[in-house]
Amino acid sequence: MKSISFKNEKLLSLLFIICLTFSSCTDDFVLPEAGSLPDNTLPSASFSFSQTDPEDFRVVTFTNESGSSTDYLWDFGTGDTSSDKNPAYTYEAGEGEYTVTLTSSDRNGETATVTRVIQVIEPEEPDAIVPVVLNGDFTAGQDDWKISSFSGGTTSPFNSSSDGSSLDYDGNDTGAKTAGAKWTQSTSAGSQLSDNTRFAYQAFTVSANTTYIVEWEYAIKADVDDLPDGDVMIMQILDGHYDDGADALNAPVISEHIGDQALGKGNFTLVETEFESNDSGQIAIWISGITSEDAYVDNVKLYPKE
Amino acid sequence: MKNLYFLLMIAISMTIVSCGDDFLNPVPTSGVSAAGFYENEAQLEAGVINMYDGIQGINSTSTNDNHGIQREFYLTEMRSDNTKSKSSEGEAAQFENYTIESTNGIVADYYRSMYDVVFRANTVLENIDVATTKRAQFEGEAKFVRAYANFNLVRLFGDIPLLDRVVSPSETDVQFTRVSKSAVYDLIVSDLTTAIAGLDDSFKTRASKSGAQALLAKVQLTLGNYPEARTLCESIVNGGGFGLEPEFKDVFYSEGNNEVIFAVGYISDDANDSQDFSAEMLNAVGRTTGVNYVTAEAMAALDEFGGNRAAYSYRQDDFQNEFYQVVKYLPNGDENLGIDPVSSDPTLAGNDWIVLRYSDVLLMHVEAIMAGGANTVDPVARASFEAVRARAGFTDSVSEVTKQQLLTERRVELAFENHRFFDLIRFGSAIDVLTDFSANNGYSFSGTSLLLPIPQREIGLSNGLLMQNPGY
Repeated sequence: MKSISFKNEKLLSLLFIICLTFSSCTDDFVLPEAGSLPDNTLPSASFSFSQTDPEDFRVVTFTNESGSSTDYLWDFGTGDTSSDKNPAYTYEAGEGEYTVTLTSSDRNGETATVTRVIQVIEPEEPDAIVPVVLNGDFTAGQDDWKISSFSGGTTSPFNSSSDGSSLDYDGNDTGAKTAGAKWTQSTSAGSQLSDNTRFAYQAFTVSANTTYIVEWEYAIKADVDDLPDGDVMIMQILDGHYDDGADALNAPVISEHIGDQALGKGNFTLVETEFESNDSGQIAIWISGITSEDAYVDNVKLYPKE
Repeated sequence: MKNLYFLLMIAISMTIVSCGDDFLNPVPTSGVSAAGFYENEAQLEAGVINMYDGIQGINSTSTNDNHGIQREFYLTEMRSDNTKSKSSEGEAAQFENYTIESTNGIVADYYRSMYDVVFRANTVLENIDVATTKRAQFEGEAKFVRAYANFNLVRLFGDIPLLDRVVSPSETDVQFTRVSKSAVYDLIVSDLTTAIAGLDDSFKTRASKSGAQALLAKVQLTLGNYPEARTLCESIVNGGGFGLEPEFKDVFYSEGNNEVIFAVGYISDDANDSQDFSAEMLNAVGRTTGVNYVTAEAMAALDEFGGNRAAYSYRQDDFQNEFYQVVKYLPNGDENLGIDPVSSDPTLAGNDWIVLRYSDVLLMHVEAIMAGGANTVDPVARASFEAVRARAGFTDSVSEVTKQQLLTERRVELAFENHRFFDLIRFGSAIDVLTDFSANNGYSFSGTSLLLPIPQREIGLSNGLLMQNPGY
């Protein structure tokens, strides 16, 4: 094989190097953004809201429904702002209209804004429970007014009497006396407290923390001033339900009315007492009398204040 | 020359005597297609039955098949605080985590199935003129089914394409334009009103008058039309055609009992008409390792407020004692609870799916009287509420029913019957309750999780017409 002469070899390698120098890459490096398309999907701002806290109507939760965005700026219309995606905000001022603005932006710096006027609505008061007073006009004898037991006393609630009010339970004048409940000296409480003292008791479930009215009529035969704490009829609303009269005697009292108008037998005084029910809604009516003659009660009613 | 004449004669005769189109293109008599079908009332009835077949779905393990309502529990119970998957893996876990992707196959399956049902109903309505004596009934049934499917779709997806007639594949604007919810609800209300007028109470696994009334009541409650809902509930309550089963267990294991108003019927051990959701709710009996397993929160609610319903709502998993299963649809029975097997193959279960029952109507009655308020003291509402509770063993009377009490009672009475998610939304408690539930369990709930994503395949086919729901 004929070898290439030394002179040709050198010339060839020289040419080769010259070629390399002149034909090196002159194209620009392909940058990462080559072939990029413009972002045609701009952010769109949108939101919905709801008052979600059952305990506090002022808490509003916002749900972000924006499209194609990464960062958010909320203006709640009260000067407060947030950059959370789905914030919950408490409107301290309460019910009213607020102008809320949401600005959604993407990382290209494009933004979209939506402004809406939202309504924070205070929910209506729930309906108050209307309790049913059983035998409120005492026409069914001593039914429904007895406490379950009484340690050291009697469960008899009162003396049944025909000398009640002339008004029936609906407030119409019948022209004659109706059935009623009677207390005498031997069944009196207070200074006359004994194991024969009679107390009328009836338990009710009412709406908590709501204003109710207890309405009743009483008549006192005479006030001869021989008793230190008489002659009166006492209407108490007790806090809670009780099975034993001894506990009811010492129970906390939500409301008390002491009726002392001694207008004579058959001349009834109408009393309407407002009171606020407790947190549990469990209350009881507790009626007693302190008298040396006779005292009467009729037409006991219990209803929520309108 | 003679040959020429001869050939000319043949040519002329061929032109005159040519074959008619129906000789060359005969309509096939052995292979049936929709083009030649629906010629008489009997064939139309087959179309009517076909609608219920669509709701039933196919019992198969292929993800490309339409499973009808057999997959509904994923989209409703598992998205609520009632159930979850056992193993927290795969597409099933996306529902409990609130990390649903637009490519989720179960969502696509349900979307397809419901639109298939709408198509079957529209087909019946298109051919309604061949009906003679049963026209009002078939029209009522088709409109009931169409409203049922649309109601499911609009509650789950929000604005949806509205198909009120049979469309051809080229009508892409109708198929892929999302119509506002209010327009969809207008069609649902109109369809159900027609259905009520045309139906009677002959069937429990087909549309009925009371079924349409109960479904319309639920629609009206969803829309906030409380007086209308109340009237509809009272038609059923005062109608006397239904009653509560004395034993809670019998509601689910005594098929077609007096409490069921509308159910999707299945047949045990039948390859064509059985269901597989019962098997999926068991431990590794179906294709999954176990889904629709009961959450701790649901068990706590059932224990405290369920009364005698708790024992027939959930039970401990025999194989993995730390998990709890749904009891209402057992295909293979439970000796301890006195439940007989419903089918010999649990993956070919015959347990019917109850859509509407009388107890639901009683509770909807209370909801309608409460009319969105915080409580009701109305004696009529209290009577309906007490009737449901009395069956559960709570015989005391109530002086008022609060919104929270009603929501809880619906949860424990209708647990795992695909109501909880929609109840939470209707009562306005969804965001509050599910945010807390999600925080306690490490899930990712946000307000946009209340709607499902439109299936990605639909978005792709729509070529830019179909917009996705926010958050997906």
